[in-house]
Amino acid sequence: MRLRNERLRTGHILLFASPKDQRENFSIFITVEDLSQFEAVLKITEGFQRIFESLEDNRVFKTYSIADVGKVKETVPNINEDRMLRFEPDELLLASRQMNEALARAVLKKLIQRDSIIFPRVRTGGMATGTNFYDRSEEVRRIWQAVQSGKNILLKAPRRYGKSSLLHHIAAAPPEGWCACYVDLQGGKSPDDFIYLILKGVCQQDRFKECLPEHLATKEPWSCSEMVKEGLFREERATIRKDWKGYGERLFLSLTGASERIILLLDEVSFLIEDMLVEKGNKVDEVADLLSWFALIRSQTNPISYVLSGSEHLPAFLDAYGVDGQLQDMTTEHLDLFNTACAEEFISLIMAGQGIIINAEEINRILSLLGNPIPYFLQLVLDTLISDCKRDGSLSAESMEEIYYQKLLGPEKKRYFESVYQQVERYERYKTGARRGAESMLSELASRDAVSKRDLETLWISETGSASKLDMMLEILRDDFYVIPEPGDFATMSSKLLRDWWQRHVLAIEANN
Amino acid sequence: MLSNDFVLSHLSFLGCADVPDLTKADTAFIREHLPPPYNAPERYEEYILPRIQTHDVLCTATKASTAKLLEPLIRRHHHRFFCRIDDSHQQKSAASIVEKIRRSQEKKAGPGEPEPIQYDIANFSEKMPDLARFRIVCNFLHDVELVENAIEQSQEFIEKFNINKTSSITLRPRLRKSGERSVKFTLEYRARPGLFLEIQVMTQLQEAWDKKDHFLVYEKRRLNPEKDEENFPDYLDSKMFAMSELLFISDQYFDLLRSSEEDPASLEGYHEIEK
Repeated sequence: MRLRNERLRTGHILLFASPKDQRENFSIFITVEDLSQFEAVLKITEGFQRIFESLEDNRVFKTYSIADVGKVKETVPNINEDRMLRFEPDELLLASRQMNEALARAVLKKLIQRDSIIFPRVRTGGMATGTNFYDRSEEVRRIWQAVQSGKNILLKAPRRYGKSSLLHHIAAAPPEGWCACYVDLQGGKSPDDFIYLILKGVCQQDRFKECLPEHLATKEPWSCSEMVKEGLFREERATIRKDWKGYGERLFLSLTGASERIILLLDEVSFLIEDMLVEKGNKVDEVADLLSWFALIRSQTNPISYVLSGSEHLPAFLDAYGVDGQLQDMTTEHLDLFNTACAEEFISLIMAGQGIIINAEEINRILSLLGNPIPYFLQLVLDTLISDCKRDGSLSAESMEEIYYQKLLGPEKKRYFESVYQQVERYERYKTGARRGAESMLSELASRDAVSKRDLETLWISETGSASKLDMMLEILRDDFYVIPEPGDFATMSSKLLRDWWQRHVLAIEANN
Repeated sequence: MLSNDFVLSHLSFLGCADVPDLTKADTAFIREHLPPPYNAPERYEEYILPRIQTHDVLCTATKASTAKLLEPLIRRHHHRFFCRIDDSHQQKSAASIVEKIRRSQEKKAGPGEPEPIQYDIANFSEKMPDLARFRIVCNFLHDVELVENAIEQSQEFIEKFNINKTSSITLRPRLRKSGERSVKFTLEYRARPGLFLEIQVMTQLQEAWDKKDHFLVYEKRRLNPEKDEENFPDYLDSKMFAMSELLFISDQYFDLLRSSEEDPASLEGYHEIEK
């Protein structure tokens, strides 16, 4: 991979001109170095035309030969330079020298849809919002289809798959007639926290003002400063504490009176429930009470749609504690990993946005180093490669590998894995010895391709004294450490990066001790 | 009557401000020779332009190679303007192509003349040598020579193209049909026989003349050929021809001045003119 040569000024413009509005015009500028690139540029030009025709847009396709892109306006007066993307031929060709149609199609679609940012940016550890949110159009479509047909959704996925980003994306652009409210439940430890966090969520937007208690609506909390808001919410919190059910019921019922349909996107439900249990010394009554009350509320507030997001292990976790989650009304939606084609496209677009030329072999190299393209880890890898490529101008296949093993798995990036490792510390709350039990199982999983469930059970029993809660623990490890079942009652750690990290940072230390 | 706004926006949409109109004869030709639904003035471009897309890409790649070729010359003369590659005179318009095809079919060989090339809708993209072209506009006549030599001696060009050069800069008056002065390279891409490209090399004064002539004479003659008495009752065509001769003299004089500055040994020639 190497930096694009931004000094090249000669090239071929592919103009997609709107018959109505020049501001709608967009173009692709393919830089050309010399005659040796003639066949490649011709292939790319014809490829873009073919793909464009298949997209059935009403713009007109035209090409221009440009000696100096700095003076492009003189030759193409109707060009919209704000919507001109620059590529080198190598970026748009596969190793076989055929056109990279997937990339070209993705770029054209984004340009036609008038996305303000064509290339997603690396957002390691942060929420992928706006146009940085990549693809997931099928999941979004399915969720809205289910919600519009009156269903509530339980959105499940392992950690770092992008659930929160997906919910934010849904909240940011609801269809006509819908009003969406995103609520992060992480940090809540009680039923009154649950009500309080939802109240805070709906108070962020004036679209909910007609549903708020009158004394709150008149104070217009959505436009208040944070300090004023804090004061307001402190008072409300005291009221909620006195009678969370009564307050909650009034709040939810008033939301049903909104002129628009409401979708409540409740994120991190698993964290709320687990933290409630810890807070109450693993006593389940309060959790069961909240869940059954909330199920009743859902049944009484049909105009509101609910999307609850949590880890895959939520049902197993509730089962292990003997709690009926009363989630029967929810339709389960799983958020899967990017498939290979989508991951390849994502990498191509991110790199193109950074002015880096990467070929298909290099993309495959990244994906094979990484293993499963878990969005968080994928962004971490790309972030590291991009900064090194920008510093050095280019990276060979060997240096990509070196960066992976020395930098990504080295001390420099340690902080990015701390939050992953810290999950293990939470496990002790579930059972005495559970932390050691989980660590033993993970060490075994990291050192072998697959481990039998029987071996894992032995390790678990040796640390915790019994087999109880093993199934729950395996479900939790599935979410936190991507441990997945394999045929024949085996399990494997499916993230190569995490396995490599565990070997380097945990197994190596254990061996030294 | 169309408003100026409409005309401007329409021209601007087409991305070209000097699209020639179709003559009645061209429109009739389109109706008769192009397959439907392209046999109408509103759609004929959609048939013609995709057929010269390859020429256009070759034009870009050749410009890039030419820019590399000229780099040492531009570096050597960096203290003054040496030349520029001009984009504004490149792809032949669909209307010009139609006109050229039609006229080629009407043309008859004169006595002793070779049979003229006949173009048609099927063969034009492989026969017309100037479907795509670009100009290199130089400061001095001497610079034209340097560019001309660079192209002729380029190993890359020799390998990739069959090169044919014609020059109208020093053409004798009796051999001249118009005042145009340039060196023209017709390049045929060896890997794709029938794929032609034209490079024109000229001075700034020659280009200035050409741009004026295009508007004042060429277009009038193109739309109404062989009617010079009617087109130019005030002898505009003759005056334009004479202007070209004057500018040629200017170019020569400027070149002497240049050489006196860059090559003092040439001062003798300069003093002779001064006398």
